[in-house]
Amino acid sequence: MKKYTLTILREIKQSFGRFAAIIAIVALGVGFLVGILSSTPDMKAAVNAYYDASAMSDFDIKSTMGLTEDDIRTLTQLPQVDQAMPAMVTDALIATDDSERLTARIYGLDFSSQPINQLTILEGRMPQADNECVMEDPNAHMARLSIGDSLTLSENHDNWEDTYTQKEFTIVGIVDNPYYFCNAKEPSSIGNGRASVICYTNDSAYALDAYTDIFLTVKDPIPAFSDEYDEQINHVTAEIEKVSDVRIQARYQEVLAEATEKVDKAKRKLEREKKKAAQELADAAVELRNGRQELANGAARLADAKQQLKDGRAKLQDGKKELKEGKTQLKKGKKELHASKKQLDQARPSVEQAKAAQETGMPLSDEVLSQIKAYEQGLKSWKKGSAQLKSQEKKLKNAQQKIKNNEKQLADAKQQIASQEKQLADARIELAKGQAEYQNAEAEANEEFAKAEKKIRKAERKLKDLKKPEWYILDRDSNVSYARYKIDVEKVASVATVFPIFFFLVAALVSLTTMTRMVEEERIQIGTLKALGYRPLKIMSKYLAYCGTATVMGCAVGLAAGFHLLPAAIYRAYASQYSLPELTFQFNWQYALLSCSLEILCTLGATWLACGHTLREKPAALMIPRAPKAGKRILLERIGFLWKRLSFSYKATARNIFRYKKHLFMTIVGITGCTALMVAGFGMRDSMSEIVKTQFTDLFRYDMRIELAEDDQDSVLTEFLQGKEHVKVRNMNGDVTGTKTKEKISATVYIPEDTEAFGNFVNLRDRKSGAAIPFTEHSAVLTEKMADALELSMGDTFTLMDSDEKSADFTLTGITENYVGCYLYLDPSLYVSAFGDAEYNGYLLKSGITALDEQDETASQLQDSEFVSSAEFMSQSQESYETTLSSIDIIVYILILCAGALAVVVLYNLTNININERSRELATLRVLGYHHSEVARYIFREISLLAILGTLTGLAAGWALHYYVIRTAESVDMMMGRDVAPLSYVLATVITLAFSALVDILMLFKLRRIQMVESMKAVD
Amino acid sequence: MDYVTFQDVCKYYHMGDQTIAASDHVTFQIKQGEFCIIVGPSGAGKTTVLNILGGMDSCDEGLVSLDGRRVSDMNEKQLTDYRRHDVGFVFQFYNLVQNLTALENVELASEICREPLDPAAVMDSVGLSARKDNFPAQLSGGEQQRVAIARALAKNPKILLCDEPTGALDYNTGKTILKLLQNCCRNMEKTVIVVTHNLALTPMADRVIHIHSGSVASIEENRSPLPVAQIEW
Repeated sequence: MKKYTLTILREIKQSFGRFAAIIAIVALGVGFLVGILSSTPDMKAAVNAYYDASAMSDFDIKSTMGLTEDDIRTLTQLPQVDQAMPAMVTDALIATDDSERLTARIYGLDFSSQPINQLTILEGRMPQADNECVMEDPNAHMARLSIGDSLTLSENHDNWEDTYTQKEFTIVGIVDNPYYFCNAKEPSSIGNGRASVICYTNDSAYALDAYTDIFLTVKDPIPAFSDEYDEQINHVTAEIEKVSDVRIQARYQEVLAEATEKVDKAKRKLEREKKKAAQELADAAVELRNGRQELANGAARLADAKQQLKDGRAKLQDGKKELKEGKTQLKKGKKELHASKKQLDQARPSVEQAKAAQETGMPLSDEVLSQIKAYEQGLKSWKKGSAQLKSQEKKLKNAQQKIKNNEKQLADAKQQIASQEKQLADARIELAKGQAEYQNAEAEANEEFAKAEKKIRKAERKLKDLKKPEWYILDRDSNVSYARYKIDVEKVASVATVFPIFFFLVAALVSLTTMTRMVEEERIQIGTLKALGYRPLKIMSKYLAYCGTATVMGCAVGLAAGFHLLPAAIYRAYASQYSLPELTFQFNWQYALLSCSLEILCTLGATWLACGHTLREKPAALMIPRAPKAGKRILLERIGFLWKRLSFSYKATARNIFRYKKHLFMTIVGITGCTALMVAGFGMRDSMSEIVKTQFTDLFRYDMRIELAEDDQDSVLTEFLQGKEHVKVRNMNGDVTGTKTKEKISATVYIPEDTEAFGNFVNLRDRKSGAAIPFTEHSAVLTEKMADALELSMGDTFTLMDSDEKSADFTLTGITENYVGCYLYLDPSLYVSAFGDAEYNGYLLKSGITALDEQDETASQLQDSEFVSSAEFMSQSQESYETTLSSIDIIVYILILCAGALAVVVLYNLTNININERSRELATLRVLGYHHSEVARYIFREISLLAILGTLTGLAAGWALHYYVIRTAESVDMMMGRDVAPLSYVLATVITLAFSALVDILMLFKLRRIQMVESMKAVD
Repeated sequence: MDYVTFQDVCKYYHMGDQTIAASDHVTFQIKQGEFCIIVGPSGAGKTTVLNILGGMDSCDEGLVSLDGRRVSDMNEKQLTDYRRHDVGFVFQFYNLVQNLTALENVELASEICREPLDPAAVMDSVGLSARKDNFPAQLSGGEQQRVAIARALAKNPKILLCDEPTGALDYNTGKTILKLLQNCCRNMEKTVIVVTHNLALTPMADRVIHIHSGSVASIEENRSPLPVAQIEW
């Protein structure tokens, strides 16, 4: 026994290449199988552990009317619910310190107790004051803010006081929430449509009287990402739905009462205001009237004054005339007086003479006496006339003075009148102003009241229309991170099934071949031992031990590497998409046992069979060299002219290939397997890398989509659409069913307004021929994968059911190439006749806006239009699809790498066997004087030919394998490219052949080591 | 005129600390056209001598020359060419390529050397005209050895080295092969060197070299070698 064990050890030592090859092949097969298979469970477990550690919520309950303490109490009383945590969550536009406008999701939380979605502080500290917040560690789609930055609620945010108590928040820390571990866009209904900041602050920073969300965890949770978990969640959802009805009713009453009260209050206030306004207006009216009266009085007074002035002027005129007359009279009187004086003066000397004479006593004639008397009398009347004139003159002077005075008085009066007139005019203007003011005030008041009334009416209407609140019971599938991760992990699983099994089979086959060959090589030794009296089982045990040791070691290496390397590599590939916790490796007994036992069964079974076969022969027969297998004529020899041209070495190669059929078969199958794996691997990449690009550039020709809240345009929208190619569409979701299968597929339905122009926006074409599919009246075109899943072909009838459960039948007129999503394109007339009016609710357009910040700006600008509900850029969707698919790339590279490794090991092993078997022949050639290079050519020509043959069949097998893998990995809303790019075939070929060449180079050293003395040995 | 010269040729094998001399100062000469038999018991070092002479192995000391060329000074490539053009080798177990026909096996050798004989003619000369297109497995042992001799002869080598050519053959067949070799020597004037442990064959040789424990025990020249037919063992 001891010696016998020794032979096993020696055997291992001597044929270490073969031993190592078996270990390597087994390790690769087992490692790849368990590695890929356990990747999915490992990845699920890692995130589940993370969820457990941070108490990830199972539910997020939202209500259209807010949630109260009563709701929380009700929910926590459910036997299935473990913990409940209320929160206030709103999205708001904020401005950063750089006055950048962003959409922020602001959580109001009670930091003193965080039973669910625990925040892990990464940097800084938790908020203390209400104006402090912590920020979710920003991912690639978020703004790169840091501690110390502040967020200010945007100016545009009306009535922020209704919601918040703070206008500005300062970031004091960075945290990690299990709710947001995925590097994906968090959709938001405001701003540019995605949350750029997620921050958490004290709940007292909120002014709301109700919570917006309640997060729940369930009791005894089953690990997530499993069907069992989904089942549990469905069950709890049903329970929550049950209690929600009561809570909804209660909340409805509460809100209704509150709102009614508010409306009543508003009404009362309006009445009061109205009364007050009416009083004020009346006062103003009275004042106006008084003003008007005064104005009239003033005008009358003015008229009087004017009359007086006129009278005065007439009187003055009369006076002046009188004065003039008096003056004339005076002049006349003066003249007369003067004349009489002159007469008197003439008469005076005679009179005086006479007088003197008289005195003397001379008597005077009567005549003289009468003369004197007349003179005396004349003198007396002159004197009198002179005095009279004098007084007359004085009188006139007085009159003149008086007139002068009167004139002055009149001028004054005139001036007065003028100023009065001006006053009056001013008063009139003021009155007019007052009138206008009055009218304005009246109008204004009326308008305000109308507004208020409208508001009240609206509130009343709203109150009347007040629907019962709705509860949205969101489970983890609504969580972007959970859903993304689930899909990604499942994708690994879908790829994982076929590849490793195929890989494993190839590996098993090769290890099986190796052992069979080994047993056959050692027939003489077996014969000798048998002749020596060893029992067959004992003899067999050597080979079983040899192969068992190699297989078990291979399994051990494979398990150790497989359970660690592959999940780690795949996990790391995903790490860029997620902020993931450390991967926890788990040893999966099932997979380990399954793969190892299969592998051991394969190799030991093969050894057993080969030994059994050999051992059945008589020792004598075994001892003499087995008659070398006869050379045989092959078909090629019949073609004489060709055969004769071949040199003997080519002839030998040709004959050799066909001589050892098993050898040929094994080599070709091994290489076929490796090539096929590589073709499929590269093909997977082709299928996935191109589809997104094709979908978003070739098929979707529009680059932007606007959803309308109402089919109308305002200046913002009109201006935006100006000069941009666009088509108006109706966009809705509907369920499509066929007749052949029971499958129901939810599709996005597009009904374009302009059928003819639609082709400019969505390229409808047949995938295989590339021919355009006409879209005209009565056209109903489905996307390819959908038609495929529903087993519909052109001319078949399918049923569309809209969200109101109205359904109609259509005839399929075309099946269009499409990779991402499920779409049904319907002609509007067809839609109208089936469903009635087509309400258009969106635009597809070619905006030409490519820069991300420009897109963000455009999207938020469009939010200013009251008719736009959202604006979406296709390049952003494209990017998100691409990042999802890029993670698959890593898996593909791992596949290719493993296939390459397998190719090397398989080729090495097969070449090794080939050389070992023929060492004598090769030694003989060396003795005959063949150079190393000639010997190498002799042997490698055969191997290369087999490698080429294997590669060729591998290309075909790869095509089939790729098709199968793609079909398995596809889901209804994601079709993958069905074609493997020519380059992939080339690459797979080149890599296989390069590996083959590499192995040849390695084998050169082995060839050089062949001793010529081998040729001297007996045939063994 | 010595055609083949061995002068103090030594070959050592190292087994751990021990050094074993497979050839220990082997010295002998063979003339052109001689039929020489190297004889000795198993493990005496005959094959080592043959390997060194055949260019399959190199010596550690001493001088080996053939037709004036120093084989002992050749590098590996020169040795290969030497084997290719100057040496014909006949093995104990024939060493034919199984999936080449008899003729093709001869061509295997003739295709690579400078002045080969016509393979078909050589086949005729070894008496296998009818079996040219047979595969080795379809031939008897003697026939196979004849193919092997034809393969060696077709190269038109300077010497023909035969390692126990009759070792795997029965008595009568062995005799025919020896006859063939003797004829080659006599008729084609080839220098033939046969290695054997069978002392009974020595009378047929022109020169017999006795090897014992790695060194030459004695060399005898046979003035009148016997025809093969008269030898018995």
